[in-house]
Amino acid sequence: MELYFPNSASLQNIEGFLRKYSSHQNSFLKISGHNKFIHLHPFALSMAACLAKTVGKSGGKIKGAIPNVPSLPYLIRMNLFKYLEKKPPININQNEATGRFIPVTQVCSQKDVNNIITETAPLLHATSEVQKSIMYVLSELLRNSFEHSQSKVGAFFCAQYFSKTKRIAIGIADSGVGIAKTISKSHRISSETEALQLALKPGISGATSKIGGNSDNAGAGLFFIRSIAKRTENYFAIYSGKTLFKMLKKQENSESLFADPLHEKHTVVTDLPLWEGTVIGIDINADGKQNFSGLLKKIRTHYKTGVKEGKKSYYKNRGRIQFK
Amino acid sequence: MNTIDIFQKLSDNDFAEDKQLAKSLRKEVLLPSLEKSNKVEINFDKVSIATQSFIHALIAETLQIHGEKALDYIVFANCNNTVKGMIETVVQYTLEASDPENSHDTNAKSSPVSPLLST
Repeated sequence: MELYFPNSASLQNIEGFLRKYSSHQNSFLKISGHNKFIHLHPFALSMAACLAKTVGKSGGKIKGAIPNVPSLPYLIRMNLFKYLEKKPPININQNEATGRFIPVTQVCSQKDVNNIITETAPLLHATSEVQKSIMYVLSELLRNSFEHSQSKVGAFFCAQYFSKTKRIAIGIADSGVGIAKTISKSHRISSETEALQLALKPGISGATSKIGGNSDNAGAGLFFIRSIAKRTENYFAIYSGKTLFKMLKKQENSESLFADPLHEKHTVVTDLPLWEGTVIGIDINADGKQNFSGLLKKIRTHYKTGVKEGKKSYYKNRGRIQFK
Repeated sequence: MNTIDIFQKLSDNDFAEDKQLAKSLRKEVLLPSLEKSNKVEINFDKVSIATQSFIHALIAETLQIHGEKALDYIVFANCNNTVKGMIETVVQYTLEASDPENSHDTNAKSSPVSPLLST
């Protein structure tokens, strides 16, 4: 396997990063990088850490090196070298003020999810409203991974605050069975694209063929996550198998949310190197202007509508719920 | 009336997202209470946010089994607007999905008869 760290791997151009990844020969992982500058979105960082751990778990070796570039201290602080199990070529002062980020963190069991989220989210020093959205996103994505992926190395996530654009970038990766296998347990699919499409629709879960979910799974998580990205005019990307779905930042109308993700402005790439598992990246606003409760309210409205699209009649139950 | 205090069950934070916790509360408290036609108060005091997945895991099965009648036996206390909105959403789509006319699940097993129907 090979992984190349380019001078830029953001969600905008993530296909380039993925095309340079090679999934052949999994007895070792060879790493290399741009010799002038390396910038990696948390999507790429989480994927790299996950891949390194997966190769290591099966007895493979990590070969190669990351060049000594100006962004090396950032890569070290993000725990990339920790998970590559490589000694960094330079020493850094860990106590130096560095900015707002959550370094790559491995989550090994579902019971650790709550503690890890509540301990790490404050590292971004975001407003309470932004922190809620970060915690919400991390919870849904990590829980999804543990429930469906069967990843032997757990899940990896990290996040980074970018002050210039006032956004927070989040990435999460696992090396489990992937979306197509999970969705096909309960839904007939003819392609990986169709699997991703279903997974991103409201009310669809691999745990059941019933629209709206079963007793444990609503089939809501990924719809909510991509909706958060859309409503805040940001990128969302999901890569599983050989297929990448990327929702674009610029949409004609950020107020509307389509149940079918293919109705949003997007790109789909279906001939990428095989990733056995799932990698997700999302950017969210950190300018403090968005009220998270209000954002969820708008998404919920579209969620209900989206689930109803598969139904024939509307069930009214207002006034029946007892609140005190 | 039985009471479930959600904040007390959380690990020193106000974020209700642990689906495993929600599932155990559902199975150990909510469902047994309704089986005996006992009311349950679910207290969300000090909970600032709950994921939809949490609320779904907590109450969806109760509604799937007992239908709208379950709402006569469950009181949601001290919910802020975010939590209240999530509960309303989950109740609505769960009851819609449970409506036999709307079932698209050809493999669905028939639900047990709700004892609440006789109370």
